[in-house]
Amino acid sequence: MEHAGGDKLPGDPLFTHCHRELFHAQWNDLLDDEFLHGYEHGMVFECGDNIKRRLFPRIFTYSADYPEKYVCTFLQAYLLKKLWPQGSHSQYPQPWWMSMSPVPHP
Amino acid sequence: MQTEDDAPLAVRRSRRTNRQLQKRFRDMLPEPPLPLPPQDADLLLEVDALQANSSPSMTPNVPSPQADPTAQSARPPSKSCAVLTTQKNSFGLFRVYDEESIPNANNPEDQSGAGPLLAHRLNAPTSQTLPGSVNPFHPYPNESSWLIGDWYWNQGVQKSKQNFKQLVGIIASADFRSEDLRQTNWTAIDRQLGSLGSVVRDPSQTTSMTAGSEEWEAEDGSWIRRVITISVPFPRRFLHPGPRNYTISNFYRRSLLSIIREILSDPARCRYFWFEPYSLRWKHSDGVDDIGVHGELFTSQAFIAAHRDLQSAPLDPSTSCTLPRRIVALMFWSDATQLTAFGDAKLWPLYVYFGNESKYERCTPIANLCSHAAYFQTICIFCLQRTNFNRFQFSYLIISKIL
Repeated sequence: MEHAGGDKLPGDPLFTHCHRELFHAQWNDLLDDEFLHGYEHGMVFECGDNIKRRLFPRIFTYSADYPEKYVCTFLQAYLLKKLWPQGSHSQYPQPWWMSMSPVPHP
Repeated sequence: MQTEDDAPLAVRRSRRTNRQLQKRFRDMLPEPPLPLPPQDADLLLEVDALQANSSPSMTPNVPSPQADPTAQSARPPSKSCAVLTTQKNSFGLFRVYDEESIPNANNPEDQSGAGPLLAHRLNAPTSQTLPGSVNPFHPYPNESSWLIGDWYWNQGVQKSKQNFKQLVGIIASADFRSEDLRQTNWTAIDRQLGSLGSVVRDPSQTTSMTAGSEEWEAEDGSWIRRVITISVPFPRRFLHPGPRNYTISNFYRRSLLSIIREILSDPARCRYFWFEPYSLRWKHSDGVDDIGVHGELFTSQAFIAAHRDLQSAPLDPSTSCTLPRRIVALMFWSDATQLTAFGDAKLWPLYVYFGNESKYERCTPIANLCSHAAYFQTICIFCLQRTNFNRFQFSYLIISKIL
């Protein structure tokens, strides 16, 4: 990951680190406790068709461009740690996309 | 015989009546969708008996390795569940449903045709998205004002001859009433249009919305402004080495669950939302084995596996919940966007699509199926340096950025 978001400072590991940390911190905020609770226990919601369901949000894909993809690559392991903390791996199986390797850039 | 001889040669000539275009020129239209299984699985056999001769019908069967290899590979053999297989259509396509997740009667596929959601949304009057509002031209008071407002905002920034013709067309139409415009408060309407999300909004959140509110507001109900802090480990060459906090205060995001709630509370969206996955398979007319067909996310192995895991997963024992457990498939994508031709104004939005909706709907821009979830911030190197760079390092940074 040379840069993220356009600020090009190649070769400086400090900024590389900061970009990644900030991106992860923002995702950390996005996947808040409410979402994690919904992920684990479901969210009871009466949909527009008047049927009450217990909805479980699942992340299936994440598409990103060339430079961003490398930020997202780190995100895989990061999300895994967040959604499946130590000790709960056996209870909630790892989804397929967590085990996928990133697609190489053509 | 005599009359035939008198007729022109072109008429007398014998013709093939069953002429067909060559196969490669034939246009094969999509098949109408197959009927879905009956809602009550217990009645299946009875329905089958009644409709024995009608085609197509549903036949329940227990999965065999040939019939549903996906099911066998996706879950352990001990947990085999009954599946329902539709009859093949003329292309040899058929579907395999789990018996326990048969779609209900108002399933998306019942309303067939190209772009059902789009057609529905385009035909739906505006008042459907504005519960409690009588005026379909809200926030404009009447149709004439709405036409003029639409012309002003949506027909391009620079006025051209075509724009002029459009304006003349609006004014010259028989329905246009110039007296309607006199009472219109344009400033108030523009302010209302500009306040984010005030036009289409979850009815449960309308109370928190105030007309003319600022675009980004914490109490907006959907958009949240967050402060994010990271620890920056400054190396030894900096003025103050060691970890220091770096804070951004303008990370705007929405709650992901509130996006789901907003989408699914809309009956039009919910109607075309696939909660029940199925496996789409193809079998050649001469063939014995069938093969899986890739298509939608809700027919993918990943979705089916996640759905089955969810059905078999133990829930919290404290809640004896009997509600149907369904998956909402989030598909994120993000791309940093340069906003202006000159300058460095840019945005890095995070979008989210729902995999439960058909990809043919999702790829239609005017269907508006994409939701904005967040706007990522990036490190501002000049903010970073302010605290911890000496003058030499700062000038080095400037030069390296320019070069």
